[in-house]
Amino acid sequence: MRRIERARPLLGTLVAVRAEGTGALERAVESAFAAIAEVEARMSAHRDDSDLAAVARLGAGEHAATHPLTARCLWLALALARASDGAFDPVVPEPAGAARGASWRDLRVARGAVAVTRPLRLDLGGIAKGYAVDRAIAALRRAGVAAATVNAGGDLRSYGSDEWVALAPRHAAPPVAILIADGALASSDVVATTADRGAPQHRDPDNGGPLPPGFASVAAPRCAVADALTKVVLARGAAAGPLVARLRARAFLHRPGRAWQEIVA
Amino acid sequence: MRCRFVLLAAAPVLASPAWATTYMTVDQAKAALFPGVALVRDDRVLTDAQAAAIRARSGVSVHARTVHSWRAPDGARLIVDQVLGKHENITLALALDPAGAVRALEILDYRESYGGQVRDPAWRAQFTGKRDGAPLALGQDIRNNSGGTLSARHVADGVRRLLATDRIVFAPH
Repeated sequence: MRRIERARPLLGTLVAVRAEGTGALERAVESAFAAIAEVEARMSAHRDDSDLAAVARLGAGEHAATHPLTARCLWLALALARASDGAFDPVVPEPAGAARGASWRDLRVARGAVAVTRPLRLDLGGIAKGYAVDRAIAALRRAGVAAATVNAGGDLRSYGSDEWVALAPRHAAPPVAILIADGALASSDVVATTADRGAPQHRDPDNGGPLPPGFASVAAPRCAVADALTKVVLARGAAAGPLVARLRARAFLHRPGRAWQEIVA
Repeated sequence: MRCRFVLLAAAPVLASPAWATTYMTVDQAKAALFPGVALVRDDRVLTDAQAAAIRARSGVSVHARTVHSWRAPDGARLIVDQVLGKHENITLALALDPAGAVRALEILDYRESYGGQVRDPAWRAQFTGKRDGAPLALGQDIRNNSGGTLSARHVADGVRRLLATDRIVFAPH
């Protein structure tokens, strides 16, 4: 058995890939980075040539063929939006105070095509990083790697090995760590001082305003699900419990000045 | 899936852990980025004028005057350099093609003196193919909307500084 670890700047952070096995580990790790780079390129909310930019150009009632990779991620995002009643929403919300704009209810994904019932913009920032980690793990499994971890700046998934992750909210909090094995862990932080400038996925689903400050970590079988659930937990707090349980996840929340809380059904 | 949540003892040392990881050695990077190529060591020491020109061109301060570099027969180049952040120190290996465009970038090692996690899904860096003169800027190439992108931003700054170094110190392409 041999073990290698490589890191590249991707997904807005340093992505580390660890692989353990007997075969061509370097090639396997390369395929993992390639899988992440493909998700990043296709699902960027900021590139004119991304699949999301093509959706943003659609008029009401129009549809566009979408790459299967993007369609699968959008399908998952839509399922999580439905399950969370919009607490997680891949559709960029209107600014606070504006009339009710487009939401996940205006989006349809079927057979590799995306349709919209009104013009909208997508931001997969709340799920694409986790999805990229999942794709990288799939590439490592396909390559026959015995044990692997893909860590995108603290959002990670691993199989065949145990991973300890220290949770580090930017506000003061009692130090905690999570052990994750054969699963994924993702975290999201809403900082009080910048909450009003937060990313779209850090908006209050009910009024478009800033979310209350807090730090959420979610363990789930898939990193995309863990990633999206962190936003649901930040928005809904204890009310997210039933969904967390249904998705076989575990969620931990820390609000400034409070104790750590596990979100349970 | 197995998951265990552990409350750690609230000792000050745990609140500011030091983390260090080595991913590749310089020799491993040479073999991975230039397989089968006979690289020739080509270090340079920057003059004051060169350091100032690199700063002016890249917008990034020059900390170290020695440039660690290797040249391939076809004019491609490997530069190994350190990126210094407030809390972290990253060694990177940048491979440039004969035209001076980024061919590959590997992180060789990473050290940080605190436990801050780095995550910001809106940040989208595309280093490969970036040429000197096409800036890697926060908010444009690189979307950043929270304070959690220290490593990523410093790596982007480092790449921009090394692209300027290549242009100013090594033969104009």
